[in-house]
Amino acid sequence: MRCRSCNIDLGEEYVRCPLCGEKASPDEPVLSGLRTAEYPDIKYRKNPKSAFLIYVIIYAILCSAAIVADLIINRRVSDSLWAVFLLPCVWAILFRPLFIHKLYIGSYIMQDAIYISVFMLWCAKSYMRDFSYAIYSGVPMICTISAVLIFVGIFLFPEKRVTALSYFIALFVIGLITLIISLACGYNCVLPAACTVSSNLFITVLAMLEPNEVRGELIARFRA
Amino acid sequence: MEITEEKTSAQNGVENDYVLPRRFPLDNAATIYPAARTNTYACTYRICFIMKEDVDPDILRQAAKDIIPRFPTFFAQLRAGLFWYYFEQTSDNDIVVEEPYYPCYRLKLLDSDKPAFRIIYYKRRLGVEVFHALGDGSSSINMLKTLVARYLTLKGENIPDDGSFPSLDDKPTEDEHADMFQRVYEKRLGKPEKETSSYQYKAKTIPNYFQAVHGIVPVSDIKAVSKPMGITLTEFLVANLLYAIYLNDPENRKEIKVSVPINLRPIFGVESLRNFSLFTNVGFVPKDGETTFDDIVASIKGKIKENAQRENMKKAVSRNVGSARNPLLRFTPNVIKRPLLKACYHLAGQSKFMCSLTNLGICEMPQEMLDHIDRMEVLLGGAPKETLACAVTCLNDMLNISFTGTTKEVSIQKNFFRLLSSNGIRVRVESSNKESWEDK
Repeated sequence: MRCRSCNIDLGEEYVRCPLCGEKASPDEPVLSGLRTAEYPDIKYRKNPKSAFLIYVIIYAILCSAAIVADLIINRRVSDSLWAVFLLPCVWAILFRPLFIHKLYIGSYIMQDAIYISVFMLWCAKSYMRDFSYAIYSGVPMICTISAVLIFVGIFLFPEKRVTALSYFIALFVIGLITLIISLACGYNCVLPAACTVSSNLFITVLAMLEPNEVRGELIARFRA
Repeated sequence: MEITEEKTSAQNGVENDYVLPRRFPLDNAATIYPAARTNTYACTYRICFIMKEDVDPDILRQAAKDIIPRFPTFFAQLRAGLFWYYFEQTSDNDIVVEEPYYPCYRLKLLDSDKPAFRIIYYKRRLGVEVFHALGDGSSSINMLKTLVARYLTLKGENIPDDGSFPSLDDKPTEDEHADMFQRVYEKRLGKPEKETSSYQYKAKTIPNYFQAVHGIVPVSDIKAVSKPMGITLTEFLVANLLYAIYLNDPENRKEIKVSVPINLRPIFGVESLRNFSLFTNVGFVPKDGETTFDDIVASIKGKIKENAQRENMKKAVSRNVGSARNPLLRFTPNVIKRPLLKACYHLAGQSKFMCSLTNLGICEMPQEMLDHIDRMEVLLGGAPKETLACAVTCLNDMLNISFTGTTKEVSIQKNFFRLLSSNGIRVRVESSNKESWEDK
């Protein structure tokens, strides 16, 4: 086949020229012996983030509706803000575990620890008028539990053992910050110290189990 | 450090004990790709061979497994560090897939145990789709040649090792995996000249849409036209493309520029399986009257060669490496650095050219392999603003000119191939869009 307008050869399969859309004429091609390399029927694929965006929009609508209703009925927003923080926490604690892939369990635990910590800070500020309860008890407690869970995970999934290193480091840093604040403000230091020591201990155990891998991971992650 | 034509330890016959670390840093050119990636711009390209027979997926899977130890830098996944991204060698290397979506569809990065590339097959097509941070076109061609050689060997063919591709009998060398930009870098070199922005072709783009238009042209036909003009084959194609863009919008008076990648390996005499290429932009300013093809030829003649001189390339490399070595940038956390680099890439870098034309040159391999391959294709995954990209390869004395884009518009491609045929060059056109086919 050929396109007379463009003066080019086309494959046997073409009825129209892909460039100008003119009807292909059944002339002998000038370049002989070439066969069309077929493409599959292309399936359209949506952007993977579109579903996430829909969830965010639904969440935003629900939150806005709750805040507006609270303002109209109670002339304040504190109860509806509860709902705004509660929704992601309900999601994180009740529904997210259903979607956990065993290879990324540490990542899920870390993200949930962050959700819950933020929620605790907000509760402490809103209902106890003081961050201190969250700083010396809630946050270090949830971080210690997370560190223990991840530590158990490194024995259940030894192939992903080294990825736990960055989580332990993050938990160690959070523990250290809460410990410094607690010391400076004269709060109870038991839970912040437990979080710092346990994370540090788990890093040491991991380094003993996989010395070369831990060294390589540290160099790669913190190379500037 | 000056790079000379020194032989590698393997070539010198010295025993090679080098082992690539499980985690290794990105090379200097690769650092931009993880940041530049968007939902619709995958920073991926495809290189494939069109075989003479349908591909056997089981044999291909075995061949893919066999080449893993020879190409460890490719079988790696991107990971995020505190300051920079890095690569980690992967454990799940089952990456042979029947072509599923559009060419160059985005690869799963970061949260994946599979490498940042895939091996695709569909009927006679056998190729790789590679995340650009892993390596440039030259390195991917080398890997693909080794893969195809292994595939044919497993099929019972006798493929000799003539040195035209990395042999599976050799061990990987440190030079193949090194970041060559760091070796070329010199601190006190002048900065390259500042560039003006280019005319941009505006066409309606479709997210996740990808169209490839291939032109198959005999090399002898193009050389017969370009030689009397005193220009190289690449210059002729660049001039042709610039003229095709100009004809698409003759009213435009802004400079039209095309980006041409330069392979630095022959310039610095090194063999690398990572990124080791840079871009140079060439173009012309349309005149107030009618601009002719000869005007464009006169404007770009010798420009690519001049820009690709060793000293100019060294300046460009030193600027890029120098920026990456800036302490302020080095110690900025990745979460801050990523959006900054992304903004720089999309706002500044992309405006300097309208589209890119990469000529990967003649693909050399033993005749025993050529007997099983019809032709070769390279598809560039265009950048978001870049609605058109062009890649050229040569196999069996046939040039394959592939245009890719995220738009259904083909006016520039039409101008380009019509200009070739008006010069007496024989052209065959194929498209990934099957709307022009029978019963479609």
